[in-house]
Amino acid sequence: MTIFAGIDINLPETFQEKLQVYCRTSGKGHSSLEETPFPRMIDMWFLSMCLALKKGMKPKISEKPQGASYKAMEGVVLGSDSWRSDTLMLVAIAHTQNIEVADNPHEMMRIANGYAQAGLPVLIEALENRDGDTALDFVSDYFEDLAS
Amino acid sequence: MKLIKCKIANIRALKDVQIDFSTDPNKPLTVIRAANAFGKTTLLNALRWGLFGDSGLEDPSYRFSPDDVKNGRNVGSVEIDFEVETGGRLKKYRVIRKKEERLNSTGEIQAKPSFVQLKALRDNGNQDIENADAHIAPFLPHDLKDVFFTDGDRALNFIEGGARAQRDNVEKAIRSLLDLNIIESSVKHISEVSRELNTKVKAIGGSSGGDLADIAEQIREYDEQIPELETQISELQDKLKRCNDAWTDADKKLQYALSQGNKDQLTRDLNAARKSKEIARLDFNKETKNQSELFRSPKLAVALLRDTLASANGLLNELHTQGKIPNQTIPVLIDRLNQADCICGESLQGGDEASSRRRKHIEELIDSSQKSDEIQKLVTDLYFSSKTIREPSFENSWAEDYSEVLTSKNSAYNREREAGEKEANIERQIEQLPDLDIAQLREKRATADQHRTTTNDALISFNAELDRVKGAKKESEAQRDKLLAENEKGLKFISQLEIANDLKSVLDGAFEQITSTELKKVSSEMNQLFTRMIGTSGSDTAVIKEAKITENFEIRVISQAGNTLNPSIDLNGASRRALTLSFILALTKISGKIAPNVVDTPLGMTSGYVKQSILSNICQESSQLVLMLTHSEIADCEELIDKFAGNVVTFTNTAFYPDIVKNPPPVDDNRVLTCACNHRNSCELCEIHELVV
Repeated sequence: MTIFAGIDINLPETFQEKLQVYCRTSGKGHSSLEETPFPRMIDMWFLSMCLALKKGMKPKISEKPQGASYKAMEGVVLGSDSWRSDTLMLVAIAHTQNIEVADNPHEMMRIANGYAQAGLPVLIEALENRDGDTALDFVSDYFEDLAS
Repeated sequence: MKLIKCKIANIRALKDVQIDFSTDPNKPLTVIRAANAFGKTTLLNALRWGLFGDSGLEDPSYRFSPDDVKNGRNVGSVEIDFEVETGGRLKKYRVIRKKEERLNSTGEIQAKPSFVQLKALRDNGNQDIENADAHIAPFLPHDLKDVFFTDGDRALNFIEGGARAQRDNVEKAIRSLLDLNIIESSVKHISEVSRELNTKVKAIGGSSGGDLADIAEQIREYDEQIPELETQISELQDKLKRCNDAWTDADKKLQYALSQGNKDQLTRDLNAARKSKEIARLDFNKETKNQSELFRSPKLAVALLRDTLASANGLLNELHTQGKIPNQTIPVLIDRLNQADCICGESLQGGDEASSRRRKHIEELIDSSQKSDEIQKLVTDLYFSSKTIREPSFENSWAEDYSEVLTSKNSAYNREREAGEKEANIERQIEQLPDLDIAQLREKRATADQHRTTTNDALISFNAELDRVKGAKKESEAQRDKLLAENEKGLKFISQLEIANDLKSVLDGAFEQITSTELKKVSSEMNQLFTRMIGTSGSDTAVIKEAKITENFEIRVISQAGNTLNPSIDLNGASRRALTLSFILALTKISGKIAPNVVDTPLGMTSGYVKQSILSNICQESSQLVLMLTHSEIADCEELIDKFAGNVVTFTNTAFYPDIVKNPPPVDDNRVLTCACNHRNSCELCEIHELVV
């Protein structure tokens, strides 16, 4: 069980369609694995967060949600890979430079989601502008370059 | 023999044509220049008919004038003047052949029997010669009509078509030109004389004693057996050749079928290729999934969040250094409450006030630490559970994992592509596969092989029997001669028998000499001419090494690698023409016969060096050469024609005005007109349009 169980991951509706396109579990994307690179939506969301942090972007955190949003995922999905819960906590600690944030799952999720929302448009734009490459190969190479 | 002139009337478009042939030994060539359908082939047929009669026509139903005969009747005629050298003297002859064709009441063309007349042309008057064809035959044997009067395509019969037909054509030509048939019939005649003498010996034996009669009877029996055995052996040899041909044919078809592909094997290969493709596709999908799963790997997060994790790690390590991690405060205090003494050594369970105060203080410490401990507990848990992320020690990096997956995926992709290409290739092969049953062809070849073995066994047996009978006959003849020597009348027969035997030995030797030595000479001459014509005589690197005639009268072409090439498949059109013309010229030369070579379109399918080389060589090797050439065959050979031609005649077919013939013809009907224009010029009559592409 993850401390994030019971917390929803809400995203602006503008991301909804693209998350469905590039994630297999949505059931609404391309039938080919090559064109739906992310097994689940949490994977795309999580890597978007990593991408934003890697690029030194500021998280999109605001008191009031900008525009319409929807419940994209539930925090419980983070329980299937426990290291991800830990990573979210570490991200929040690094962001706040205060360990007390570890006692506030909602805040930690807000921070993580803020980074994810900062990274998602970048990732989606890159995917949309790929040339003849498959989405899978493109994203793989994209993150390989980013991680190197 | 040389042709002097010919006059042709009412044979198809040759309504009234006369040609003078060059008889100059230094300019042996006569050229008939004519475009296609301008009468070349009709001229060839007319010459063949004039000299060989109806059997000289390739098709017995050949009609001379199928159009004009409708107007009533048509009399086609050919007159050919020729000269032959006999006894050191030149004799001139004229052969006249005519044939009348009429329409019968049912509208069908009926031809009357040919009329033929041969006249010896002498200064003191002409003389009719009986049996014209028999008189001409020694100069132009009938079997050689395809050698001396041929066209470029017909000449290919010596190297193309069925193996047996090729061999028969070559054998017939060689036997005829080298006079093998004459020798064979002479041998037969001498044998007959010997048999008659032996019969007379038997009559002497009957009067002088039983032994001689018995022996003569034995020899008579042997004489009957020997030709029977020889006939049977000859038939078996023919049968063996047929069996060999059948086996070769079956083997060729089988090899062809196998080279095209064994359908069963191809189907198996196709299924294997499809299976490989399917496996490769599954592997590819598996690796694609693995590639996708790499996005769930903590290694990627670690690689991307190196700075972020380092920052958090710094904070946690600081707490650890401060002793706040792990969180042991409350558990230690609770533990102390259960002990008798405090950490400082004072009693906690003494029941006194000081003990109570100390216990209370510890309980207050526990309460106050409760809230911060909740956080520290979380952080402690995090500290330990996130150790692999904060301080990673992965064996491979994410990039290495990705590279590994990518290699496997590419490998699967390549395997799938290769298997797919193989599958498509096999499908194409199966589609193009002729409907050949490999098993049936194997069966056919096995049957031919069985027949061959059976025939060969019979041949061995018959040959042994022939040797035995010949040996027995020889012994009987020795006994007979011994007995004859004891008999006064017999002495006369001995000398006659000896003469017959000596003659037979000489003829047998001559036959042997011709079939071995002379055949080799023809073969060698043909090879020299052929390699010269195609320009490989001095080359060690050309594909073709040599051409030869085998003892079985087969024309073979050998490659530099020693492989036997099939002339009808492995040689190009120009080389095939060169080979057949080389054979014809070599045979003519070795036979020592002087006869004209009349060839229609000899240079078709040739060009450049080979074309000029063929023309140059045939002009040099032939005693008289009549070539019927199209304008395109003449192109690039003008200088050679200048050098070798004693006469050039141009044919113009008025039927082709105005499409091909440029100017209005001077006659109203369709016919071939001749003019003296040579290969370099043209007149108003023979001018033709040049094809503009």
